[in-house]
Amino acid sequence: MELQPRLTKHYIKEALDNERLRSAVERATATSVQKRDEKVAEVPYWEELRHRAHSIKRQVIENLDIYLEAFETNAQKNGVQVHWAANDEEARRIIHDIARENNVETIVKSKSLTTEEIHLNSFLIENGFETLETDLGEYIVQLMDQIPSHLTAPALHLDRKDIGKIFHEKLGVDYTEEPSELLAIARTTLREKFLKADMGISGVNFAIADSGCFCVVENEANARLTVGLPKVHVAVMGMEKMLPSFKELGTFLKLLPPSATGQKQSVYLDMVGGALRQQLGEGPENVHIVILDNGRSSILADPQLRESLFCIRCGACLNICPIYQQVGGHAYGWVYMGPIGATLISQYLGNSEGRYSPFVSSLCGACYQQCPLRINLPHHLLKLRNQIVDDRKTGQLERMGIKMHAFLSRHTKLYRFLTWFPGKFQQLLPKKMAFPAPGYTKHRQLGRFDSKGFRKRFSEMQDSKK
Amino acid sequence: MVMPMKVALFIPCLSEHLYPQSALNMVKVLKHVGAEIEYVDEQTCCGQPAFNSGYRKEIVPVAERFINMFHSKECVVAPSGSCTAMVRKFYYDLDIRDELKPARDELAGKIFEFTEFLIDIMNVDKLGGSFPHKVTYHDSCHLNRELGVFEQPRKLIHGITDIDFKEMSHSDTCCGFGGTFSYKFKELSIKMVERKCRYIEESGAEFCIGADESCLMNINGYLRKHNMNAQTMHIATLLAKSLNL
Amino acid sequence: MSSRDKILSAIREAKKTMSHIPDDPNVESSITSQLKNITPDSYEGLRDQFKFELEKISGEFNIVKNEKECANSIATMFADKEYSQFMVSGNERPLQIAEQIIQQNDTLSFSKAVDFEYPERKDKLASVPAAIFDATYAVADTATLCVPFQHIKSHLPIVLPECTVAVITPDQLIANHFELFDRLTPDEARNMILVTGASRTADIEKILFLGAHGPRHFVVYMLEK
Repeated sequence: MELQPRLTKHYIKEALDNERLRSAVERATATSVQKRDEKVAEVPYWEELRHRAHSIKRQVIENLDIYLEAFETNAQKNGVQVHWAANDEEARRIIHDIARENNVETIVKSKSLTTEEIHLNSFLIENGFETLETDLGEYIVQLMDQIPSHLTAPALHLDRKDIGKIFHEKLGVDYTEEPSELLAIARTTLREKFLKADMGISGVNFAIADSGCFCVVENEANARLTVGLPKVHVAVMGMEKMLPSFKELGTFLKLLPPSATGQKQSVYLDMVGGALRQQLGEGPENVHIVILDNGRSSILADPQLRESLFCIRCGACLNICPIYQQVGGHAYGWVYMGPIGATLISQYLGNSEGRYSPFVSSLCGACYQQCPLRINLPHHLLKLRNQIVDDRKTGQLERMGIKMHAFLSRHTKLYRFLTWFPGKFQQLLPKKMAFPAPGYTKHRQLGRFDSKGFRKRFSEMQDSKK
Repeated sequence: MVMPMKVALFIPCLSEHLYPQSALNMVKVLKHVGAEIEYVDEQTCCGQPAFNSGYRKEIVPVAERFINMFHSKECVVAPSGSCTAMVRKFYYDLDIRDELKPARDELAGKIFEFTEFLIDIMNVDKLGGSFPHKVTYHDSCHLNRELGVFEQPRKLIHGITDIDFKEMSHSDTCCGFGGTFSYKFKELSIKMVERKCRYIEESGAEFCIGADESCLMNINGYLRKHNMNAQTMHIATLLAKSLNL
Repeated sequence: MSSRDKILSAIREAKKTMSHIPDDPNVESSITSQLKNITPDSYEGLRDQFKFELEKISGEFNIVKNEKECANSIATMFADKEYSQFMVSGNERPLQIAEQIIQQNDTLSFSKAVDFEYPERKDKLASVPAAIFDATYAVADTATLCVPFQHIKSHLPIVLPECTVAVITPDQLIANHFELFDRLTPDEARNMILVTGASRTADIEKILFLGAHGPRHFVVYMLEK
């Protein structure tokens, strides 16, 4: 299922008409926010930690080449094979070639939005590899031929009936909508795949530059089984995921779980620094990591917007966004959604494809308040809006209107003259009516122009005091 | 702080054209606490609607004019968090001429939203006054998150001796106005204000108080169209009424 | 130009522009002092915190005085659950306890991961319902167990069975993740697992279930000799 951000207005409309989706999204985000707030309240130094994380990431992003090179050297010392992919096409080809070289037939994947970003699954499947998502939410979404609707809760938009139906249709099991039974079905089906898979593909939450290792943070144990059982492990990493050393990891492990899932700590941290077969006589014989650019270096080039590379994909901004809460993730039309998605879409996909995305926001700033990395998302959205305007991707009428208003604002007498009319004209309309603006008054009454305006009334008030 | 404080009024477009009453009430309250009021005749707009829509170079002259008009005043007060934030924060995103940058800094240091002015600058304690009604309060996004003004309006409301103040749930969730957002994404905006009005109704308040007319217009628009009980009221109006000004 | 060179040179080019990002205040002393305030300063305090955190996430915590008592308790638990087999990696302490378990209860038998070659090992062990393992550090703040692969003979006992039992000792208990990463050597840390409770998922309607793809029961024994 291929979504296009350019059609976001259409997707939003669809979402608003879908009551079942909306109540699932409302329930899930409310739960997430509540749990997150509870866990954050337990950390009295939370705000300080955000600052510390922000300054660590700034240090990394501003010296990314140095950290990447150090990581490569150290990873290679550990026997990890390091690949560099400039774009999604190259990343797909690298992974495909690794699979071919190792005579891979079955691939299991743990949740990785980076692999969604590069459209990996469909490519591998087209090339004859059985490719299975193993994170429960991702597995369900894959069966439904959809993309995830949330960064950490992929199936947030679905309820038990949807899941029961797809399991019955695609897996041939008897229909059940009992969640515990659905889980049992998934566990059994996937356990079999884990044991037989030749290759495991994972994402990377954090990579440690000075030790040449990287980790996956998860709850289901599916990532552990993905990276720890098959004979080949391939990790796909957005190049911004670096940390300098283990010392910094503690801070991020304190911020990520509450923000992402409202937990004090995630169940598993799987740290990979080499092929397990050498160390323990089990698991991967070779480990590969693909360092992915795919547009990140252009984001890095912008001195303000490079802050959006600090993102650790926790999803806290989605959960609190009053717009996401109304429409869910598919409405944004891409694998990254919510406020961070709105910030990344035009940066990755261009101002034409992304011409509406930064506007899918009321700029309320709740996301910035919750972001564990203190990414000033509303500020970035404003800049992106400006880029879209300067790139002439907004309507001509709007542009003319804005220019006229700006001109009038500098010529007081003219401004007053033109704004005098609506007030006077409105007096001809019945008391309760205001100007009918298209679509505006269907559910909302527009404010009425005052017959005199402040300036006049103020001077009357001053005169009466004399 | 020098008494009497000379305050130059910054009247947002919505106040000038649609809701002058609340701005007039702000003037009354400011006078009541001892401020001397000045109205700069040439003021028009600070440029926020255009800025939020992505236009920057187009409004640089507007911003420069505004800075020139106001930077030498003793202080500037607006009955709006979003307009104050525009000048204090977002003017720094505009490529204004170098010569005006010191004036921009000067202005940023002395432009205030009404409630923050009363509490933080005028050090108003309790205004006293009477308003024996049940009220709730909506936190406007820019006021709360850009300017950090959260306690001040509440202090002022609590300062009214017989008022019955009930916090609504999610008082700081966006009402869905967002300027042109409410026009570009109408249905989405309606759903957001519908939710806000539901919270207001659940609080049982007769009045929803706010410090930004943009939010109040949006909320009131929905309340009236759907014949709901609550009324909106700007905090300046609340204070003026409570003091019988 | 290789992709590597392309990417690195793009980064170097980007670096030339200074960031327009707000500075952060120095928060180190504030974090240190606040952390100190909320960290128990006695072994008992840390142990009780570990217990509290573990129980909050539906884990089980038991204090035992020696290996025999530990073995007794585990044997009873396994018998109650009607297990006939369990596994250990091959490390000494779990092995000793395993030996004692089967002495007390002859309906139980165990296998050692190291007795099997890979890939046979994974299939053999995947069918076993329980396992006993030991850790290197136990983090009180979050009830996390740290198991560097350098110190174990197999990691499968930690992730495959539905019931996992860990045995730890007082000297392994530390306060929080910050301390953990101070203590771990790079060799220990670069291949390891941190485990906090049983595997879980809330992907179906945000309802929490234990036992997603890994263990469902997570039991910790503190061996206070």
